[in-house]
Amino acid sequence: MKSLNWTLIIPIVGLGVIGVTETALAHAAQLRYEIESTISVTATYDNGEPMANAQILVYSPDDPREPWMRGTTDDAGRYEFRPQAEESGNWTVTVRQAGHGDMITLNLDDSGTRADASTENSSDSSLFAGSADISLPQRLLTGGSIIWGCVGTALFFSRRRKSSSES
Amino acid sequence: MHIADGFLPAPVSLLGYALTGGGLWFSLRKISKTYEDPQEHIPKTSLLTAAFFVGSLINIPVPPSSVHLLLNGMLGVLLGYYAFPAIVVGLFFQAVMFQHGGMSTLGVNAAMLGFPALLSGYLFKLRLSFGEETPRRLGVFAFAAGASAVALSTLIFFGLIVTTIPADFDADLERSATFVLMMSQIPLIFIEGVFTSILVSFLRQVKPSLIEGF
Repeated sequence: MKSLNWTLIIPIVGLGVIGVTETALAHAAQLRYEIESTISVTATYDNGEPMANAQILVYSPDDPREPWMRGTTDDAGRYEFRPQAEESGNWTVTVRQAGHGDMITLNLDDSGTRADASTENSSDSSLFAGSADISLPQRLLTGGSIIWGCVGTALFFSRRRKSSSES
Repeated sequence: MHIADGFLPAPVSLLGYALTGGGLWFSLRKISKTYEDPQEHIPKTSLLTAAFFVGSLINIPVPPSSVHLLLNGMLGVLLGYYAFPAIVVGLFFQAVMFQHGGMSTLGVNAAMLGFPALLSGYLFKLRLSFGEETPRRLGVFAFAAGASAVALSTLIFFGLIVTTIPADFDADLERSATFVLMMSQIPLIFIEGVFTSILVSFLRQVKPSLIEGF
């Protein structure tokens, strides 16, 4: 009878000690981490001036018709949002102020990391999207060619007029 | 003050192209009927098209933002019916080169700047019905023509923007932002009026043939 009591008491006391220890350990601090990318967009006019207090709409890949988030840019034309990592695909950001604005599409891959936003990226709503990437010298050269085309046309027709008046 | 792609619904863009087509047809028809030698004014038109093309790059700081020259009133005064084709060509290159405006809105932008230019041409011509032309009257009419084209284009721009705000955007916020921008255009109306007036007075002295017949 006496030995039976001990065989019951020892496991019960043991469990009690472990239980108390577990409770005591729960007060230990823990650090966990999670990497979530924050997208920061900056809206400026083509002369570099920031679009302050412009309206921003963010569309998620799941529902490209209904805005996922709305907001306004700060004084520097900046706006930040954190897309949900599980929603990979094309996120669309639209900015608008007084009939001026732009639209950009960010492609976030499956891991939730930024696919094309690792470097500064800009987009233009123009159908000639590629022409937004033309460098300044190329742009100046093409602009100069257009102006020379106009001047050349002027010279051609003024010459023709002169020669016809002479003949 | 160019409307970019994606800011107007498709029917409005199509209507813009239809109006611009009509404006071009009207202008070219008038040119062939009015002038004995329609090619006579092509050199001047080409040079002013180049000036118009570059004009949108010149920013004038008007706090809190800045505005750029439109020059459609000046084109109307100096080119008459030739102003419309000049604006269409200039806007096309502005859209391609500087992304000022877009290809889908080229028709709307051309109509928005072109028709006021034609009207300013008519307004400038009105001076001839007041008897003998004095330098002062010439300057006043040039100012009125240069300023009114910009004012009318500005009103059309804001009318279009305010009535076509997409449902997703806060319409009140957009309307008030548009109103602020409209106010900043007022100095430009005077600047362009004064510029046109000075230019016409200058041309009257150095080469009066450039303003005769328009």
